[in-house]
Formats: sequence, structure tokens, C-alpha cells
Amino acid sequence: MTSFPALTLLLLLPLAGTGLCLLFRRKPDLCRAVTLATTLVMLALCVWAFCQQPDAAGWYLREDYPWIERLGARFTLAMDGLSLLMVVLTTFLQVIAVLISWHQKKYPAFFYALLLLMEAGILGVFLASDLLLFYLFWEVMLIPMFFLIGIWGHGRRVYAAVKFFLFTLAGSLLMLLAIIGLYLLHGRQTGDYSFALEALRNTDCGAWEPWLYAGFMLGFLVKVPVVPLHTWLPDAHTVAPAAGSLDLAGLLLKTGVFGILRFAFPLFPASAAASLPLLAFLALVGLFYAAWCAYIQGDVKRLIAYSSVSHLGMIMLGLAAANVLALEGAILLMLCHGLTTGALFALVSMLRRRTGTRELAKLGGMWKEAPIFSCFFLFFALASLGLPGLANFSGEILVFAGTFQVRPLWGALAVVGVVFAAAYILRMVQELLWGERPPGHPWPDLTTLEVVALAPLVFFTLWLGLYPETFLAHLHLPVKILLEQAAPLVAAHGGLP
Amino acid sequence: MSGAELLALLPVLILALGATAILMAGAWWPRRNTLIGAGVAIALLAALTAGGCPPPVAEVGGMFSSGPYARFFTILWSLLAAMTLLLSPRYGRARRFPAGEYPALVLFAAAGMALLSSASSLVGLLVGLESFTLVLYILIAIDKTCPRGTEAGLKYLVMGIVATGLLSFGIALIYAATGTFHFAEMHQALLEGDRMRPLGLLGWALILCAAGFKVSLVPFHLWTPDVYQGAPAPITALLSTGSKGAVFAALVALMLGIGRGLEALAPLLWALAAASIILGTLCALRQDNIKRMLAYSSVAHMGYVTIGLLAGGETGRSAVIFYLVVYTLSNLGAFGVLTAFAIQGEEPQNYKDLRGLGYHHPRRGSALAFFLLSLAGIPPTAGFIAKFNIFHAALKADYLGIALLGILASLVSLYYYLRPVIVMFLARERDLCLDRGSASEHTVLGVCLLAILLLGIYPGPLFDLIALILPS
Repeated sequence: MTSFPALTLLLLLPLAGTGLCLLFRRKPDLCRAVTLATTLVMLALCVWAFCQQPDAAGWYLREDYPWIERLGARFTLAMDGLSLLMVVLTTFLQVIAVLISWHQKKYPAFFYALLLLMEAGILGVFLASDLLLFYLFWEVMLIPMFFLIGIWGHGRRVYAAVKFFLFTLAGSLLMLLAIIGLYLLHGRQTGDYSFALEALRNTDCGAWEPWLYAGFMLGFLVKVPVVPLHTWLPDAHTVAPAAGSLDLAGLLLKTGVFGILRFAFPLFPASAAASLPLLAFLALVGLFYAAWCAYIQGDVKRLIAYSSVSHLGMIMLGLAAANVLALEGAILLMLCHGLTTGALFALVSMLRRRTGTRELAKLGGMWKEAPIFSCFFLFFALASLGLPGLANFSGEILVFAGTFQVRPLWGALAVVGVVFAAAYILRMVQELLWGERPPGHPWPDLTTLEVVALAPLVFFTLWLGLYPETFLAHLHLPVKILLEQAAPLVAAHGGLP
Repeated sequence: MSGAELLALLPVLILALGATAILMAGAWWPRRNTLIGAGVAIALLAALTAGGCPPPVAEVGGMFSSGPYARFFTILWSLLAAMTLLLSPRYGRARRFPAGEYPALVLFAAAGMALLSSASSLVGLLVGLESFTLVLYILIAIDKTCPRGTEAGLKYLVMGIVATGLLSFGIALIYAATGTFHFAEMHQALLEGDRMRPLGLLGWALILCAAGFKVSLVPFHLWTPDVYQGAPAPITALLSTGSKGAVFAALVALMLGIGRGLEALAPLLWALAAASIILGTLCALRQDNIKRMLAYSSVAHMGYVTIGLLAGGETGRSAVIFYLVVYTLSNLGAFGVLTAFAIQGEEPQNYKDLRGLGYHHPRRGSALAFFLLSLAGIPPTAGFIAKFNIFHAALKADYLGIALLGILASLVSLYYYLRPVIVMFLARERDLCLDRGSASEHTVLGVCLLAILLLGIYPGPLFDLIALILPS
């Protein structure tokens, strides 16, 4: 480990970028350049972190400064393999988000400022190792998203923005209560009032444990989102601007799963173990229900939004199986889903910019009309469907393998879910790319900038599909530690690792 | 009164004498801006004196303490007066505020608030309270061209007189029971074994009701929306922050040595807090006028502060004071933006007046959004830390029910805090000709904004300061 404060820098850089954007709000070009430069520097920083070696406890980087000492809260940032992958995904997708919103004309400075602010919030969530600090970032990322949807959205943007805000905030306030409860329990037992994750893990919660666990989980499950808490997501996605959808699907949803892995499971292993069947049930319901919803959608973006919920069901199933394979698969699937669904959202936004509509009924014949667009779209659609060799497949196969080890029935059901995914994806591709082209103006193909923005996504989709070990290597240790720390999780399925 | 005691009162004396000087100067040279500038200078001087000039004695006349706690609030209210005055030049010119009287009255109000926050006896409490409410009656109705202002002043006057009556009666009862006005001795004398004496309980109840009138706790809140709406925006800023904060500061000092007596008062405080939170939140939901919304929201906020009082202990007290500081900054900021938006004869009041302001006045629009988010208690604003402290104190004192109620109400409150934000930023734009604001107004807004952001991200220093000044 080095003493270079890379993690603090990761949080300060986007904040500095936000400040610069607001300062130069009359010069959109400058703002754009500042934003791109900031995101690129951060990506470079992450690549540097990716090349570091973890210590025995799995930490790549760790920073700890005093913060609110009276409450025992500290500014503790820590990066293990799991955080590392999430952070890399965040910084990577954020560069793409800037590129695909390069020609933002409506209040560009404010737009880029919010984009950077959200990046700071999301990175904080992935890095914070102090519960109060975590909660702070957890809420910080809401505000930019609220404005991104509310100002730059299409259609019923205010409704969607408020719904998003209220849903997620309701969940997180319960989590806040649980955090305070846990903090007080720990303080009363040990006399040491602290929000540090490490310290709180050893708290004996007694009869409160199920309630505290439920508080945390509600906060996270709304964000994931798990059916029936998902209704904000299709609305938010449908109206959000391109970069907003990309961030929402690629990053915000991941914070929920991440929170479960980082906080809910290790803090309350016994309750978590008891809740695994329920989680699996919710995951499977989500998988099928959302797939069915996706199938009947007429709006491409809504279809992808529901497919996102369905994929998250698969990820949640991996968590519910709670063994090495399934957890690694679930985390890998988070990366894959971030890339492929993010790319699909970006493509749909590009489509809308050209055609003015996202209704499948009014679209068709894109293959002849815009071949480059169609190639990209087909590629990411097939990846999203789980075609072997492309990203999602590697994650899904691990989740299946892990689930079959412990609960073959769950695994079998989940595999059927993939058939459902094939159904809605193929329908979408068929109607969009090959269907009848409606009469009207020709639609221009992708611009060079758009191709440049999408190319890295293609590259990493292939990489994750063909050789996921590069990324899995970072996960072996954190997953092992997680399962060791939360022994009841393993015991819940009859002790299978 | 000895010279040392006078020296201990120096900051308040500076405020009061300075105000008198301005009042006299105004009679000969009615130059509004110069006099307001002088008022700002005097308020800052008082704050500096309070901070830099240690008092030679701990108590003045057995009525007012001059300890660090009193000094802290003296500085806070002096700065508040300075900021209120800084908000006023343009607004006052447009509405022809009387040149000398206006700054003088604001300074008098600050002196009264400082006295109230430093009260160490029931007489001091009464004197302090009266000295600034009297001033506020005039200030609320200072815009003579506005009939609503006159009405608001009258309403506040009637309610204020009722409160004074209750307070005097309560003080009389406690004096009858204990034979002392002094806080510290009073608590001992009021306890009979572990229980509060009936006369004392009645006296306490009356005092709390009177305080309830001043800080608008339900069911004593009925004047609040009309007065908030009718008063000129800078005065509403002063009224909603300083007058309420000073009363709570006095209550914290008053309840300091209460010991087991708190158990007797707990049901009353609990009921006041719960009713204020519920009713304030529900009524705020239905408002279409931002000043009335802020009025009802302040009812709910005072409910939260009461939770801190109820929780008691060092945690509860420090939570109350932190909350007061943050609430003062946020509310001052919110009303400051409304002041800065005001044009000749008009303040933007209804939500429809705020349409698209976020685009045409991005800085002030964002500032208002930020202040509202702070009032709603969303990180990274200081409002979050303040609310967190209150709930933390409540849970620590085993008041789970009211903490849950508070959290639920915070969630509901988002709806009404977000509405103006939505209207400003997300609603269809409308080009609205509003004033560009003046540099002094922007300074105040900037200071509030920066302070809230800093306290939200790094509240440690203020916590330490509060721990330092809290009398124990």
C-alpha cells in the first residue's frame, strides 16, 4: 500500500470539476473539456489502482482521517477487490457518459456539473468504510440524479424524478434509523461509539437484529430494485437523458447490490442467512415478472429498463445462493450488466435523437438504414441475452453453477428465465432492425464520436466474455473473506462453500 | 451594579447604545444606507467584543449569565442582526423603511435575544423575552403601505400578550413555590423527593406554553403562517430564526439542572413535539405560498428541537444548539433569497411566482434549492447532521417512537421542500423580470451557503465548540 491519497483524490477530483463547471457556466466548451479531462484522469487513477497488489486482508488502498470525532465517525475510505471493480466500472462508464452527451445543448455547464457530482457520490458509496460517511454519499448521489431526470428528461420528467427521489429516500431513511440503532447498540455494549464497519461487525444485536437488517435491506432493495419495489425504475429510465440512463443502469443500481454485500450481509449474517430463501424468491419473481413486462413493452427504452430489472433479479439470485461461485458470478454480472445495458441505453438515446421516437411500432428496418448503429445494437442485445463469448454469459454461468450447487431448483428456474430474456431481446431486435421501415426522412447513421464512445464498451464486453479471469482475480479474496466473516450464510445452504 | 458587571454586559450595551445612537442620528440625517451600514458595524463590533473580551464576572445582577454559553449566543444573534441588515438596503429603499428606526430596531431585537439567551433567572427570562418581542411587533408592521403587514403585527401582538400573561403567571407560581427566581436554586426547591411539586409543575407548564407561543409549537402556532406571510421578508428571516432560537437557547439553560424533574415534564414535551411535527408537516403540504410553507415547516422544525430538549442530557442539549445554528443559517438563507428576488412592492410568494427562476437566476435559485434541501435534512447539507443529532439523541434517551415519527415526517416534508425546487428548475420556464439583487444580499447568501456546506461536511469544530460552551 502506498501513502498516496488516491482515494481522497478520487472523491475530490469530481468535486473540483463540478466547481469549475459552475464557475465557467458561460463557456460550455470549456466545461465539456474540463469534465472529460476530469473523468479521464480519474480513469487513469483507477487503472493505476487496478495494478496495485492487495495486502493480506484484501485492501488495495486505505485511508483514514478524523471527521466528526464527537460522534465517532471517521473519514475512512477503503478499497478491496469488490470496491475496485465497482470503482473502475464507475470511472469507465462516466467517460462514456460524457462522450455520449457531448452535444448537450440545454444548460451544458449545469449538466456536466451534476454528472461529476454524481460520480463523486457513487464513488463515495463504493469506497466509504464508515457507515455515516457511507450514508452521506448514498444520499449525495440522489440529488444530481433527481435534477438530471427532472431537467433533461423527456415526457413526464417531474413525475418520474419525484417518484425516484421519494422511493429511494424512503428506503434510505429506514436505513439511517438502522444505522443509528446499530451504532447505539454497539456503543452501549463496548462504550466505544463508532460508525466504523469493522467495529460494528462484532455487535451483538440480540432481538434487534432482524429489524436492523430489514432497515438496511429495504434501503438497498429499493435501489437494486427488487420487485415489488421496482416501480420507480421504468419511469425514471424512460424519461432520463442518455447519460442519466447510463449512470442509472450502470452504476446506481449497483450501489444497492454493493451495499448488501458490503454492509447488510457482514453486519447481520444470521438474519441474512435466514432471509436467503426470501431473497431468492424475490429474485426469481423479479427475473420472470420483469422479463414478461419487458416482452410486452412497446417503448424500446422501457423494454430495456425492465430487462435491467430482470438482470438484477439474476444478480440477486447469485447473492441468495451465497457461495463462492454464485457471489463471484453476481459481481461479475454487475460489471457485465453495467456495460451491456448501459450501451443499450446509450444506443436507444442515439436512436431517439435520429428518429424522434422510441416506439417499436414506429420503427423498423434499421439494418438497411443505419448499418453501423444496427451492428452495435445487435452486438449489445446479444450480449444482454447472454450469448456465450460475450459479457453477460460469463457472469450468468457462474451464478447458475453456484446456485445449482446449493439449490438446484432455483438454478433450474433461473435458466428458464434466460429463455424469457431471449424472447424479449429477439423480439426487440427483430422489430427494430429488420421490421418494416416506416416511410419518412432517412435516418443518419452513427457519427464518429458516437462510435468512439461505444467502441470501448464493445472491447470490454468481449474481454469480459472471453477472459473474465482478469476481473475475477480481484474477487477471489474479497468473496472468500466475506464468506468467512459471515459464516451463517454458508451454513444456510448446508455448509457448501 | 458594579463596573465589572457592566463590563460583562458590554456586548449587549454596545448593541443597545449603538441602536439608540442610530435612532437619534436618523432623526437628523435620515440616510438609510449609511445608517444600515452603521448598524452592521455596531452588530459586528458587539460580536467581536463578545468573542474577544472575556467577562470579569460570571453573572450580572443574578439575572444574566455572562458565561461562554451566553457569549456564544450573543455572537450568534449579533451576526444574525448584521446579516438581516445586510439583506435590507435595497428592500428597505423600495419600501421606504424609516431610515433610522429600522436598523435601530433590528439592533434592539438582537440585544433582547442576547439577553434572553443569557438569562439565568426567571426575571431575566421575562425581561429578555419582552425586550425583543416588543421590537418585533413594530418591525413586523414596519411596512406601512402593506395592509397585510399591519394585520400580521397586530396578530403577533395579541398572541404575544397572551404569552406574556402565561409566562408571568408561570413565573409567579414558581416563585410562590420556591421563593427564588434563580434557575439553579429553583430546580432543587421544586423537587419533593423524586417528584415535582404540583405548583411547580403548573408553573413549568405555563412557562412551556408561553415558550410554545413564541416558537410556534402546536397548538400555539396559529399566528405563524399569517405573520410570516405578512412580515417583510428580512424581518421574517429575523423572526423565524433569532426569536425562536433565543427562546430555545433560554429553555436549554433553564432546564439545565432539572434532574429528575424532566421526567415530570416529559409527557408534555413529548406531546408538544409530536403535535408540532405532525401538524406542521401536514399543514405545510397544503400550502401554495412559500412563506406560509416555511412557516408551517418551522412549526415542524421546532418540534424536532423539542425532541432534543426531551432527550435531555449533554447529547440532547448539544443537538438542540447545533440544530438552532443550522436552522438559523438555512432559514435566513431561504428568506434572504426571497428578499433578494423581491421587486418594487412585490415578493415572490406563490409557487407560480418562482417558475423557472432556477434558469433565469441560477445562482440564487440554486442557493434557495440548497437551503431548502438543508431544511429537509438531505446530505451533504448541515441540515442532515442537525437532524441526525436530534434522532441520535432521542434514540440514546430511548425515545424510539418519536424518533420514528420524526424520520417519517422528514420523509413527508421532502414533498413540500421539493415543490419549490421543482417549480424553480423543472417547471416550464417563464421569463420573469426580477431584481438582480445587490452585493450585500449576495454576501449574506454566500456566507449562509458556505457555512451550511462546511457544517454538513465537517461539523467537528462546531461540535467541539458547543461541547466547550455547554454549561454543565
